[in-house]
Amino acid sequence: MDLNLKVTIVEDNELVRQSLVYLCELKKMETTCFECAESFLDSDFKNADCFVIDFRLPGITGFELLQKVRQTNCLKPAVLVSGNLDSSTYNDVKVLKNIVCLDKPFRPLDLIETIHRITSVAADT
Amino acid sequence: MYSHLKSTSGDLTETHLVDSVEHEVVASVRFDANANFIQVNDAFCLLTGYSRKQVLATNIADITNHFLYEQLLDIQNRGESSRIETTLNCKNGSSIQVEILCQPISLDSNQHFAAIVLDISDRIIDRKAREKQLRISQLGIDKSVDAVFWIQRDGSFSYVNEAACQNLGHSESELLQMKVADISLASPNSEAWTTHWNLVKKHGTATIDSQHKRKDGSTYDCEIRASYLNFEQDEILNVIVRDVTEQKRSQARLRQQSLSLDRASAAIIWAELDTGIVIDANETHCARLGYRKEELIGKTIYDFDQSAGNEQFELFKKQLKDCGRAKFESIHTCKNGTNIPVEITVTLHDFDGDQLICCFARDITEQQRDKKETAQRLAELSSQLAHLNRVSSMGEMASAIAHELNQPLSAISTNAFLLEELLDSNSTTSADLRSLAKKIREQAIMSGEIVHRLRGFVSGKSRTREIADINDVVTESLKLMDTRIRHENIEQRYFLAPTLPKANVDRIQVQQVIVNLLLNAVEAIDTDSVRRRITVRTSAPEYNLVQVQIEDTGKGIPKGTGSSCFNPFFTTKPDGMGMGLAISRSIVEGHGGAIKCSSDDFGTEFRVRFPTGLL
Repeated sequence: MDLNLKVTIVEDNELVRQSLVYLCELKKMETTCFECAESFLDSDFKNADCFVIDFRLPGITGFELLQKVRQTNCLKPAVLVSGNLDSSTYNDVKVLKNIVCLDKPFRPLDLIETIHRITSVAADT
Repeated sequence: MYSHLKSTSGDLTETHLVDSVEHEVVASVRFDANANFIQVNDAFCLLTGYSRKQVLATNIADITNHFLYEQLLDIQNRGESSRIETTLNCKNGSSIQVEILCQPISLDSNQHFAAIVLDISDRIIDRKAREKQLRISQLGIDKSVDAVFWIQRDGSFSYVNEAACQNLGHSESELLQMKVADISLASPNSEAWTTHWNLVKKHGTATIDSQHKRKDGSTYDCEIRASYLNFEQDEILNVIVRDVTEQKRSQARLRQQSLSLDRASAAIIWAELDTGIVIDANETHCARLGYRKEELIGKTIYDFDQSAGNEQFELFKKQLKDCGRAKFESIHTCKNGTNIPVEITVTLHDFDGDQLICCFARDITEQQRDKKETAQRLAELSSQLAHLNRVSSMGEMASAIAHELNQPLSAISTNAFLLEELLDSNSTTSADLRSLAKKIREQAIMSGEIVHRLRGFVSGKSRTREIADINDVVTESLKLMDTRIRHENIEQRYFLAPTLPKANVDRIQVQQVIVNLLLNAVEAIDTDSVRRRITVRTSAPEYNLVQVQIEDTGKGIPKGTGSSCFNPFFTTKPDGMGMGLAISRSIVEGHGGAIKCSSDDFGTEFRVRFPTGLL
């Protein structure tokens, strides 16, 4: 297990963001947080190993944010956390590679396992 | 000129005659058996206008009309004085009615006549006037509208007038052959007639009701007034008969009318305008109030009408005097103290200078109950509609709400997991554990609050008013809408007045209005619109008003819509029900407030005002 797995979290809700930070740190991950898409895009997001992005963000959706990320040729794996996605959005999401959708509320271990899974898959490729 | 010569009696003695001749005040003449004048006096010449010489040259027949020698001969034979009425032709062409008193005189075996000539034109006029009067009287009786009969003791008619013939259908000659018993049902036989005769004779007059039988066998009601007349031993009953069919019919009609007034569903009261003293009331009124009619008459309307005497009543009284009628609602108090709500229509009537009012009082107990029930039903319906609106706004907010609720739930779930993990770890302090547990508790409470808020908004049927700070209500509404607004990437700006007078409102309803307006505001802003802002302000524009302004930068309501956007089913959304604004207005107006809308291409502003109840 890579002790230095770097996870970037984009979540506007402070409660959720904090709990995610605690969770990841408990699992010995390094975390960086953003409240909104704009500040995330302004950052050196490519340094992260994995993104955890909320689907509902003010102004721009998590999906749109990921589209922008992919446009920068960054193919880092991402977990898109959402409520119930409608099927058309879900299909759109599947087009983008290295993305896993996780429905809220999720079991915390599922997130951790998902992060580990997609980062190891990404590392293999 | 000759007035003193005019005779009234005509009975003159020889002495008078001689005196008159001597004094020459009375015209006197002598003539022979052939009527030739022998002697005339000055008075005669004056009367006729001829000179003495002219008169003596003529014959009495020459200057009178219809003077008959046979009459003279008759006087001569009888040897008695006699009078002859004739016309005297005067010299100027006029004629005078005269009476000639002729006295035969034998003188030297010649037959003479001494005569005095009296101007009787006045007497003739008198007589003619009397005859005319008599004829008029007779005509009056003949043509009288009432039937007149003169009835003899045996019951036969000695006279009947035209009305009598007409009423009975008999000719005059037929009737004169008939008797009372033939036409009167009151005197069908001679015994009955005799009784009636004696009765009238005894009392002088009598009035009886009877029926008369026509020639065709039909009968009619009549009133008979008989008077007993004794004229030179001729006894008759003068009987006047009046057809009272019409009178009886109108009396019956009057009785019917009074009956229908008595039985009318409305109470009817007649009273004097100034004193309010009741002069008549129908049975409905008496029965409703529990009085007998005699008790009520003489009381005043102030005794049972609660509005009587108060200020408003004076206003109605003035209106009554000005317009002749007034309508108002009042309460009538029964004898036993019960109160009945009534609607009163009053009209003013002038009866020969007496100002009377006629009041129609309609019992509106049921009407008021119906009104109350209708209002209640309406309130229930509008409450249900408002509820429907809230549920449907929840629908519109559903995904935002789901997300909102998911946030604390996710946090709780994660934190609980962390707690479990930490419990297994050796390096954990109890402070760490406590901090996590506290977080979980706070987040659970937060979820509970969201659910509570939603449940209150959706189910709130209480419709209770409470003294509330509008700022609190607005803040609650904004919390409900917060997620939705933020996820549409719309900027929210709040300017809540630091202190606001409190208002007596139904919190849930006011919250509903604000949520409706916020939902409209969110939907007015297109997804691709650059300007994305909702501004909410609260203020107290007047000391007794609180105002909430909700302003958006959306596309605005179509021009020319005006206040019709508050009409039911007005909508600009493809799947909108069009009830939001209509319900909002009914809620605001139900609070005694007002809602206004102004809109242009750059946005829309709604202003909602509530009265604080401060005077």
